[in-house]
Amino acid sequence: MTRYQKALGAATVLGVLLTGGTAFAQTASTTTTTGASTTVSTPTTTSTSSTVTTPTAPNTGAGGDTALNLGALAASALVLMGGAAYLARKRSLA
Amino acid sequence: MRTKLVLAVMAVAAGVFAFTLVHALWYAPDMEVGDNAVAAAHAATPIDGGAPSRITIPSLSIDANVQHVGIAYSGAVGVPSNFTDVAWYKYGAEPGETGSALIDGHVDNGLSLAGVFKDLDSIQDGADIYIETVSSTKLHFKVTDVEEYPYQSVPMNELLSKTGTPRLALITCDGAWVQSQRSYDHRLVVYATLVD
Repeated sequence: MTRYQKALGAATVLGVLLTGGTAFAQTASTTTTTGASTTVSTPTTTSTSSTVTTPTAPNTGAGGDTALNLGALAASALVLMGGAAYLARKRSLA
Repeated sequence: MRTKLVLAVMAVAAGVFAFTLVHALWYAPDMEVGDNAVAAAHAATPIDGGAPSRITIPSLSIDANVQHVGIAYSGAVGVPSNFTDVAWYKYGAEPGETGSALIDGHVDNGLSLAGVFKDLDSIQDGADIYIETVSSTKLHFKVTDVEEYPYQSVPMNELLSKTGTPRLALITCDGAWVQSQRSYDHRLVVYATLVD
């Protein structure tokens, strides 16, 4: 980086500090969807009266994730074994 | 340099392996939230000696600890924090008292190993269910009906009713896995009434 570029960068930062930075208004056009929702599920209850809404049925199983979990276990185990083999080979050669 | 890179990759892989294993074997989905409107509404209700502490179903060789749960983030009844315990909905009726006490349990875990209620679908009418309360009172229920419902059609109002004869409802997952919901599409409900 040249002295000229450094000076230009410092001036830019100084300018931002003095002007308070750039105002940013979040609008629909400046917002992109990432796929990760920050919305919490609607509460199942009312809180301002004595009426309590009935909760939904419980989620009492996780077996459908078996393939995903087994895949992750197998892949990470393979990486570990490969790494261990590499280190062992390197040590034997040294 | 290359050795350090290999060690770093191995460390990440070890982390993934450990996390996946713990998540699949011990982590129960949809666990209870500690702070919500229902909890606030019932905060003044203490757990007394009538709350269940253990359930025994001899015909299924079930002898399990009973956890006390409220509502999950999803708005569903909370579930036990592991796959070997069952959970009693603590804002509903107590076993042996007027109304329907609801107890849920997992059917399987993240590696398809059996949960406490794996064989609940094989229970027969007339089977004995014993509940031991915190105050060591033993309650005897007999199965009167076994029903399977689509998830959206589970009669929760009935299962959580605080009126009528003292009865018990056991519930677990059933049917096919729905990946988008990360849940099964049916629920199995076992109804039982108090005998003595």
